[in-house]
Amino acid sequence: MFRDIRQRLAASVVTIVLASFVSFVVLRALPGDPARLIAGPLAGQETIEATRRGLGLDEPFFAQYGLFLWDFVRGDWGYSFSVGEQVRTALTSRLAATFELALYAFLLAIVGALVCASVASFRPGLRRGLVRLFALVGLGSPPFWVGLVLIVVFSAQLGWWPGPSGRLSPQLVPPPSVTGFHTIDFALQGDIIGVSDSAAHLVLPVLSLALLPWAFLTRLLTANMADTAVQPYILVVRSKGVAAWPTHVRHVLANSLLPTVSSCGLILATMITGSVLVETVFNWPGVGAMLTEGISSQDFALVQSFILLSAILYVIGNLVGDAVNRMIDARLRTSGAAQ
Amino acid sequence: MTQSATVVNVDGLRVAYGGTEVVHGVSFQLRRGSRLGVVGESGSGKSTIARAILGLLPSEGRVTDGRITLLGTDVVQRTDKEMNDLRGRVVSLVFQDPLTSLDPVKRIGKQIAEVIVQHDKKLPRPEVRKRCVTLLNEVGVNDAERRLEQYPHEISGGMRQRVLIAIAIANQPDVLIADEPTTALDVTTQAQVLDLLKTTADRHGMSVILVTHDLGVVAEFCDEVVVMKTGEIVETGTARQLFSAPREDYTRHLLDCIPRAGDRRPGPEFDYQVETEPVVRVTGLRKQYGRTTVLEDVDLAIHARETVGIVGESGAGKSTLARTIIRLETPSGGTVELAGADFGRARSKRLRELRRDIQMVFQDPFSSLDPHMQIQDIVAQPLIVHGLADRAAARTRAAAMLDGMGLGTEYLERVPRNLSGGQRQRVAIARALILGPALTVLDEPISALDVSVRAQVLDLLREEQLALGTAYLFIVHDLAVARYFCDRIAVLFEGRIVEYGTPEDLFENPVHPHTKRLLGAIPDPWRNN
Repeated sequence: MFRDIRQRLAASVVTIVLASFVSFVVLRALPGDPARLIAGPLAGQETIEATRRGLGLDEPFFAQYGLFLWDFVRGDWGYSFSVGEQVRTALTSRLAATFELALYAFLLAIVGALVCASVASFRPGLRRGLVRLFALVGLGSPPFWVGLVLIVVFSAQLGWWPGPSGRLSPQLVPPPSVTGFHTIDFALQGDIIGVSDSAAHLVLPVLSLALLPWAFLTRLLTANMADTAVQPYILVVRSKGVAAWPTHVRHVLANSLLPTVSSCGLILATMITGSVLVETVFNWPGVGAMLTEGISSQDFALVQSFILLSAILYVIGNLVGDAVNRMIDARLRTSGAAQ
Repeated sequence: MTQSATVVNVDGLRVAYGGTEVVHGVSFQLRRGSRLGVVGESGSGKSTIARAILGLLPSEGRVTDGRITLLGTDVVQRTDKEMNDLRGRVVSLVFQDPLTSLDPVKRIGKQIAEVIVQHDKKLPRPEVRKRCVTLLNEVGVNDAERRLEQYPHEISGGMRQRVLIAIAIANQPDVLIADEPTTALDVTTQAQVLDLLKTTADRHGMSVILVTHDLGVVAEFCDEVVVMKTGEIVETGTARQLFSAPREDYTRHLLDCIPRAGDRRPGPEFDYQVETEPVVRVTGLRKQYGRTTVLEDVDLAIHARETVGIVGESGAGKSTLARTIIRLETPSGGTVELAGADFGRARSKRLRELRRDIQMVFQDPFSSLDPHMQIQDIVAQPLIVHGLADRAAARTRAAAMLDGMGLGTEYLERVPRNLSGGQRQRVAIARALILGPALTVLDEPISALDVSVRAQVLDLLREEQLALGTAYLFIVHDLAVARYFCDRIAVLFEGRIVEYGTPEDLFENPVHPHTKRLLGAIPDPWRNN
């Protein structure tokens, strides 16, 4: 089993390095010259050469790559000329906003999927039809469009929740950052108004970001639960006199979680890195807007660091998913014994 | 008749799945303290009846007519909620396959406790635990305290079936329904489990309904028998009468399908006087997984037209031996020679050439055929893969092969799910034999089939052997079948061949104690009756 873990870790490191290398190559293959962009259209050849030297772009390719990795590990992620800040400060301050959005959306998606799938697979008929419809709509509509519709209906028409106005109403001052999550930081301050205001700002973006994975997980889990429900051991449980619904939750659900959990880690990572469009729609001060700007202005330092971070997130998500699976299913813990 | 004499009364029962009726008016009684066998082949409706008595038909199934009376109350009219109170307390189930009948992610202790707590919610936890230990001790599971903490995959199949029996008898129900309780077990474990069922039922005064396809098991276990075919009862009677003087043709046919002592497959006996070079010679074969040795020092020589049987309990290494010989597993030591060539160590191109001469037929024809391919293509594929024929020629040869096996042109374009179990296994045999291999490994080729189909498939295998001259390595757990079909039998025990000889030697003068134990465990319908 320890050998197994060592192998997994080694494979993870290889994945991360490969991802960073590919992003490094692709960024440099794009047309355009960052030195020219920084120095401006009127700068002479000498200025551009100087800028290029300053950026380290005159070094051989692999030296550049090695330097980038080494600096990243040391915590020096470079300077972002498109933001005008150190990449690390720029990313971390904005990542907190993205994390808050993504984590709440993730929780909503999982809890929502657990409930919907349990109900849908329990009795065929109307409920299954409804959930299927919901899953199709959720899977068929792009999150940014859902966001726009939600804004039109719940913010502009009904006025229930705030629209695209960022994380807080303008009159409120952000709380001192402890976790970076406004809802939690306000709660730590005992500021009820702050908690409710930041929570209200979260409702619509969380909903639009959660809908797709919610629908996806519902479908996956419903299918698994339908398969599990006809297994012999479920009949045996019923023959003990256990009623249908408790059997469904205790045994069918528990046995159907494995594939879902594996995909959860990846889904969380996708939400963090893929919330760009939703953030743009809701004017959310996350990494999304900064990143799009960084890509169009060939801000190597910013984009590379972000891709490397994403790769690390994916790998961690995957590892955590597997670890949770091992906790649920004892068969995965005894190496080699399970067939 | 007083109610105490009859515990289960099934009267004119009709069950339909969707619009199709599968049980057509079945009536029988189970008397208190007796053991009733319900026998039939797949599709006879026997399992459906068992589930109907529990009120647990599949969601599309429905009782359309008739009554099931359990201790004087009607099951069919009761709500699911009312039935929950009866299930596990008055009537309980021991289900088919112990490998899939326990929840894989829950500890054994929790699964036993579930049925106790369900019917006595106030029982304190230490008390529940104590009862779980007592139950495990009663069903003969050693080291009970530790077992409670284990998961199903950590214990053997026989032990899992014991745990299932412990669950079923936990609340001392009046009626125990056992649906094929021993089908997935080897003969010695089967004998132990049947014995356990019998003694616990006697001790607690339980009545048992045993649903099975195996007449041997019925003979060992039941006082009364109901024979079923396609949803109807063919014959009812005491076990003694059924085996000594069956009234109906169908019952007689089922009995005829069990190979008896003295029955022998058609064709000439293999002549061991004539010295010939064996097609396969296995010498000192060893297989290890990590530090566990599964096969140790196995020697075998198999000649053309010869059938060598491998018998043994589950876990003896039968399947590993088969898989190592055809090199689905790499041997850890020893050699496998195929017509003089070193098959055990051959690589890449040479290995692929040699593979042509060694084929395999798997146990389960439901999962060993690609569900999306037409059967003609399934049989033609080996020819194409080995470059022996182009697609058109391969298909023609496949058609001819299938035709010779009783699957005419109307079958060629079907996919496996539109064939019966026996037909599928014929396809699997055709696929293995179309290359005319020197050796075919048959891994329990008939144990997933219905009794009446088994004989046909064995006959087919024999015909093809006589025609093609193939040698068979026949992995089999049913010793009666081994005696009927094999030229020599090797008894495998803990990875070693402990006895090797002709069926006659083995059955008349078994030497090794393990062989004697195996032979003693065979259920024989004619021994007592």
